[in-house]
Amino acid sequence: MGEAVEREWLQRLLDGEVDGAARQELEARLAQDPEAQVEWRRLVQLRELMLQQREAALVALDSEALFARITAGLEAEGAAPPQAVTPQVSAAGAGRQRSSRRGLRGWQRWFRDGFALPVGGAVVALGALWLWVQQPSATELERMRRAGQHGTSEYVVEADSVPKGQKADSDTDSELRAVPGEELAAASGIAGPAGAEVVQVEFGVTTGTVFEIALASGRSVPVLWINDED
Amino acid sequence: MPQFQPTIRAFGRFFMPVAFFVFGLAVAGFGGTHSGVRAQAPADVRRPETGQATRPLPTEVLVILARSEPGAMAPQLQEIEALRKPPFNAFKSMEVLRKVELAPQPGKDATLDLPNGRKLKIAILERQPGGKYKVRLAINKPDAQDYLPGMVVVASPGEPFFIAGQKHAGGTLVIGVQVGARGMRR
Repeated sequence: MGEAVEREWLQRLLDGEVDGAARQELEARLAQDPEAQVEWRRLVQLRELMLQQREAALVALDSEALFARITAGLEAEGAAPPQAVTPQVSAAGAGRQRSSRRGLRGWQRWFRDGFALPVGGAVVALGALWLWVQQPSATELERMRRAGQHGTSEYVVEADSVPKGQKADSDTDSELRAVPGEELAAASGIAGPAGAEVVQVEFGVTTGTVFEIALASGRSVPVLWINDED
Repeated sequence: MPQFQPTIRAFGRFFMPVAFFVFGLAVAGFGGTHSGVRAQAPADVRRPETGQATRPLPTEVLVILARSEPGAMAPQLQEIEALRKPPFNAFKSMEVLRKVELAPQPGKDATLDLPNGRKLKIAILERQPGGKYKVRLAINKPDAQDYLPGMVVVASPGEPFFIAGQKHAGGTLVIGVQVGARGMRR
């Protein structure tokens, strides 16, 4: 058994982690081994020191006073450092603690001097401006809205003249509704070629076909042919 | 634990500008998808307000009876090129039963009684930015959906389209529709 292993067993014995036959064997070896006894005493002393340090820290900790100091903003530059609240087991640990405290003071100064709100507001303004610039145009949004909705109905119609001659009766039984597959060209303001196009048919119980009659001019005329079963 | 209070406060102070920034993003995003769009929407695609005056759309409807038996072709139909091409050239005679000018308005359909007892109903859906009209048509018996529950057509003013196939008086009804201009042509 090497030195490290020996120390580990002694530490476990000190912590009460060894029971039964192993404990008896270890205690027998400890009684017969002077080097192990020296190591055992060192471990016991170290443990006592640590317990004393913890007791001292608990006694020294005045949490209410510390909190009052913090809330009152008394941790100004050059003020006496607060009482130790945690055991400083090493120089490196103490260094980290001081460094953290310096950073905290920096933020406090930064905030106390009134820079936080202006800088935060500037960031907000820049963010809003960036989003505003990134906004799609109204036409694009309208096109997206049309592509995603099919429940729109009445729209403004601007006819050039009121019809003359025979007029049929009108009623108010309106089923105005937009249809899926609406042409993006129309929504985007592009006129497109003149002509007529059947964009949706509800056949119901009937069957039918949509024809395109090609004219000599190159245009076409749509024809919806529906079989009449009556 | 009191010893952590400074850390918590420093954390909060650090994130205060970040919180402002996130709040700004939320405000800008909400505003961009609501008020801005409403304010900039093109006038010709906005829905009309209640009671807003609108003008009717002149719509001409030709009701033609086509037969396979040889006969006369109505003179006023001879200038319509589409009726001389398939599938209409299978008919050997055509006569005009009705020539009607309707005036559908937004929110107010126009209807026409057809010779076979059905009704043709025309509704304006919208006028598109390119000048075309989107209209919805239906041909059915009253209180029924027996023939054509609905069709949607996008047409330029003066451009005709046809609905054919109904049986009537030993022939076939051919209905020509032209929105936005008077005088069926081609």
